[in-house]
Amino acid sequence: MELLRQNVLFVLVFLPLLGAAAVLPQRTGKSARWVALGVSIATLLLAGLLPLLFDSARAGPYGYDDVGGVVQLVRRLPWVPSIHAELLLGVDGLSLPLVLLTTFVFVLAIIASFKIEKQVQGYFALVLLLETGVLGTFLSLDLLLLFVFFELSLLPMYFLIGIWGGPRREYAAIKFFVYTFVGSIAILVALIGIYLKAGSFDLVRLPALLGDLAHTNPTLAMTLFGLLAFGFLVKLPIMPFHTWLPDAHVEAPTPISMILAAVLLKLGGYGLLRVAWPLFPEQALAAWPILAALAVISILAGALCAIGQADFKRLVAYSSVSHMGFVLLGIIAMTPASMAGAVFMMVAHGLTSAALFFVVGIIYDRVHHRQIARMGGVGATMPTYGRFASLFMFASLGLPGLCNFIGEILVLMGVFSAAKTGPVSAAVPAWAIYTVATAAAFGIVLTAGYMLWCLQRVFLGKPKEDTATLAPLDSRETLVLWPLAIAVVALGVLPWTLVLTLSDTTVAALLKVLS
Amino acid sequence: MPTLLTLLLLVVALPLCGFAILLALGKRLGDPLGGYVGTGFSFAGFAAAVAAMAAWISSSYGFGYGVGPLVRSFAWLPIGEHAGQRVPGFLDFTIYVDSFTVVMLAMVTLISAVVHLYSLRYLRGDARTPIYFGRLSLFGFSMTGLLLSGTLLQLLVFWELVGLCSYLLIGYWNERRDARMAATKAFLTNRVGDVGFIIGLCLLVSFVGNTTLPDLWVMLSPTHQTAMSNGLLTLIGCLLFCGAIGKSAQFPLHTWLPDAMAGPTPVSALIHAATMVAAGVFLLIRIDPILTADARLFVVVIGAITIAIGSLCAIAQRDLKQALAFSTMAQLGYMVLGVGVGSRDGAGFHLLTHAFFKALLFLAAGVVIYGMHHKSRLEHYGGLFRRMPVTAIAFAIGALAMSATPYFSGYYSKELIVAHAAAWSQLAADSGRSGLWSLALWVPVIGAYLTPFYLTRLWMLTFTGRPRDLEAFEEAHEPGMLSFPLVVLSGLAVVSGFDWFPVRSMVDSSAVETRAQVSALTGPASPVNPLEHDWPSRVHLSMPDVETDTAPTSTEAGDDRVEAGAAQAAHLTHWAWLAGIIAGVVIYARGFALTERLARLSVLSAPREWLRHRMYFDDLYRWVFVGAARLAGRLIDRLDRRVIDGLIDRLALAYAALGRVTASADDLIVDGVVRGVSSGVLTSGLGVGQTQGGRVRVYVASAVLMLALTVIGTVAWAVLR
Repeated sequence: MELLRQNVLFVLVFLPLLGAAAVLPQRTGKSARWVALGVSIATLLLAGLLPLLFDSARAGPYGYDDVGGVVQLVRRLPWVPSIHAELLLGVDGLSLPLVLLTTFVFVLAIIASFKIEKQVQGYFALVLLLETGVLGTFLSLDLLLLFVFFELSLLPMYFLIGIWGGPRREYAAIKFFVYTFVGSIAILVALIGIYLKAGSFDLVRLPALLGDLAHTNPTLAMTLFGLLAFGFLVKLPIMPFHTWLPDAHVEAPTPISMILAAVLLKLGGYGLLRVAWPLFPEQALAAWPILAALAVISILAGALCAIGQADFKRLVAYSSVSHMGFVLLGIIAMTPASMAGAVFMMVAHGLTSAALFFVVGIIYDRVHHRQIARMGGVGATMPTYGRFASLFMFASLGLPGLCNFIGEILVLMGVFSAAKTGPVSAAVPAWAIYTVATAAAFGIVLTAGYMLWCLQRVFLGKPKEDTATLAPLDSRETLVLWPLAIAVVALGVLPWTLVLTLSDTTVAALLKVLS
Repeated sequence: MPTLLTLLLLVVALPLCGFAILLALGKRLGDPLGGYVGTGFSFAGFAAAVAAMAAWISSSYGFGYGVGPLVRSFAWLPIGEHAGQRVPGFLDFTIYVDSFTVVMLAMVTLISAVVHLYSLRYLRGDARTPIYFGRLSLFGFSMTGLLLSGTLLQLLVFWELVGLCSYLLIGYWNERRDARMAATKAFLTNRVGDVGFIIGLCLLVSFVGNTTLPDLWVMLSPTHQTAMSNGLLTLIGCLLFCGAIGKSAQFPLHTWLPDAMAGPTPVSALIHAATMVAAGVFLLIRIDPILTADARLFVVVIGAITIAIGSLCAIAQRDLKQALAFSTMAQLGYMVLGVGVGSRDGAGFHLLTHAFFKALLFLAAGVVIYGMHHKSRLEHYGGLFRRMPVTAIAFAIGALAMSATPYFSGYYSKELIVAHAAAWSQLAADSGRSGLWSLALWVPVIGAYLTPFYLTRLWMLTFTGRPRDLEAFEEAHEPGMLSFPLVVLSGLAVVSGFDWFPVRSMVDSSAVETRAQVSALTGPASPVNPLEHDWPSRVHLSMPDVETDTAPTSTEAGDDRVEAGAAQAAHLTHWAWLAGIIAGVVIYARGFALTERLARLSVLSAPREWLRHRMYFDDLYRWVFVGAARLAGRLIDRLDRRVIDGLIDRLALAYAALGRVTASADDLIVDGVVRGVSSGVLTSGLGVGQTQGGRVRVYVASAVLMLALTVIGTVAWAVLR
């Protein structure tokens, strides 16, 4: 048991990497697929152990096991002793839901990838490499290690879009790379600055080590915070750093879009929660007006932009921008409800966006375009598919009983409460908070607007020429849709039992650090 | 009360079971069988509701005298904070049951069962009936869940779910453009109202950390609360009311309801006349104890405007169902105004009686539309009394009930509202406010004259005179299976107003129970019971008072005023039904003949066009809001593509140029700090094609170079510093 507790995270992170190594030498694409699927399922099962090993009731401080903290299953190995960098992995209530989401979505994405015929071994090896990168980012508690994993997730994505993507894949891949790379540079610079000041990469101890930087050198602290925030906001993405997202999504193959939306965007939100905020809470407060404005612009402009899209996949991509605005809003409000809402929203959006991109992929495979105007009546030609799609679209627009609603309502409640309690209430005038919160609340009308309009044009009505005869869902597609549908409903009905109970104590501990 | 609780949960669970079964097995069950399953579950739900009502009345809870209502909580989302303190459990699922809930449950399940039965015949032969009945079952679940909700958050959950069902059922015939447009419009319009509701909810959470109804009544009673300023409480009341504005089709969010008539007629009867649209009024009744005098004024104004719009537009509609939709709007306006002027009982009473007679009117209209091969415009009708006598009589009974004819149910409920409106406007006059304020009385009174007129118009044009569409007339008939529900509802439309029938008494005791609940929560030691003072007489009259900032209310004076108001209302509206009917009979005795002649006068034709186009609200909203959203969407999209992407593309070109310079230095890949290793593995090991490979190396090289430069620069900067 102790052996398991000590090593489970390392095995979890590197299992997909081993899988990638196992996939590459496979002779046939078929065996490569099955090996990849087996590895991803094994990873999911291993991640499924975490909630059992993780003591979510422990209401400790934001610290390690030794002080009874919320960060658990910690394992450190020496890495680069000269700069005090360690292979330091641990899990808490912020990372655990995202790890579960990641392993879940990767299994589904790999099932969805069974149609890929081009360089199959390379494809699945890259996907598994990507999984290692993502899991490593979520589980690293050493800033340098986190950065390395963060970068490690960048490159496979670049190749997956650039090689297996659609007609404009090279443009999209370069754009993705340039954007994320600029963000990475910002994070790297901040990382070096932090190390030079604190002499450590230990993310859990850094808040204490950096404690008085805000007073001794406020300019430096603000610069470092700005660089970190910029790097992660690009990844989230938040307007105006978002234009890589629609292009990357449109060109990426369906399973990669699923991973990109469900998991890679969460790296941004997670980075803000894990790195930028705990290390520089005062700067985060000082930057409140800008961050709040960006969040609201993302929510509203992202949704408006989605209304204007003629391409089904771009529409879903812009819906991600809008939803990630809610995540940012939840993070900056710094109240228990809003933080819990942000974490929940990341998980919920992970499920709905993966599902919606898969839904787009299904229709694309049949009509070979994504023009909403040329679709119609799909609900009549493919009734089961229509029902799944409606379920996910309603989940995405925040219908109660389905997952996104919980995230949105918690964030909104949290933001409104921020005017009364918490660190933000002391730093920001109440009217500003209410304005931001009210503007964000109107996002739910716009969200319903573009989702229902899209639903109406694609799925309702009489079938048009392109959509008159469509093959029904095959068993592989159904196999992907069912787990997502079940998860979307289950999280909406039992949000506390399934997710928030894991994150609750950590959010409370983190808030103590922030205030 | 375990049995009572079990029965209540059964009322909610049975339709959910029906939904689950129809969802899973609908296709296998097929056309008639799926319908039977749905109908069976709805009748079982009705039986459970009746049993619950019997248990309620016979138990000590019954009529609430001395004993508080039933509250039960289940942990759902135990997260939240108030004033820095974590408040566990404030988002729990809570069941709140009082007499009003019980009678509402019985009403909803009854009409639902009747509508199921009716739909079996109405939709016979439609291959998709299992889907239809599945959606009806989901609605039954959502609506009963809404009625049992004990917290506003939970209410919001079911509130949105009934909205979903409404969307799904309006759009049931989605191959029709008007149906799918109407469905989307209904959902979106409701969402606008919901934003207000959600904001109000969030403010409640942030100020009192609670949305549980009994707690709110205690904490936020306007006459006795310290949690927030009166202005803020007014704001919260108005925001919560916004939800009701959307759901109950009040001005300015009323435009979706007439369009919603594109759904199947049984759906219009159940959802868009009897139950869901009344959910807004239900919400208002639930938050009645926390409405400040100013919030009440807002409610009154909205209700009055809605009565005016609904009553006027109903006169000019050429479509039977749309005319009825406007009449629903107007009646909902009465209920809203009723809550506003302090007649919570009148509003609840009218809600219930209206549910019966309006469902009756819609189902009767459904028989006509069915018999006339889905032609719903009045110009096709005429002389149908001979073909469908039962329907004609049923429609007449519904119309008489709605016209507040004495001894019909609508008479009792509407009188109660008008009496309070009279008392309220008298109170306004006493405190020196007149003019506009008296409209709170005059609008409902004038509406009371218009109601019988437009209903008579509909009846005359449909059932009397010469048939205008002979072909359809020859085939018109009324199937017996459709008539049976009409008979049931006709009976209820008459008797539901009487004292011995458990509607009025249940509504009345709900107010008593609210008071009992509040005193149970405040406890005997509490110095001032906020509601004790002004509730016993079922009167809650209050006026916004600028000078003292508190609402001047007085029990005795309130009682007197209501008595005087009742007298005044009786004086003003007692013969309204007859006047309206006579006017209708005279004008429409010969079909459209007289009105067509009158319409040639331009003085009359312009307003007629205005009313026919629903006062142009729909066009206005389409131009302003929908147009603006789409325009903004296109503009932002262009901004993204031109400005931001233009910038990025140039940056990328610069990168690529830089990369080309360094492309020869492939060694860098090997020496690269972070990504060099992995990308080297990738480019060689993964067999990346030559075309990609070449470029990839360029990008990776440039990337690594940038990275190296940055690292060096930073280190240099740090060292030099």
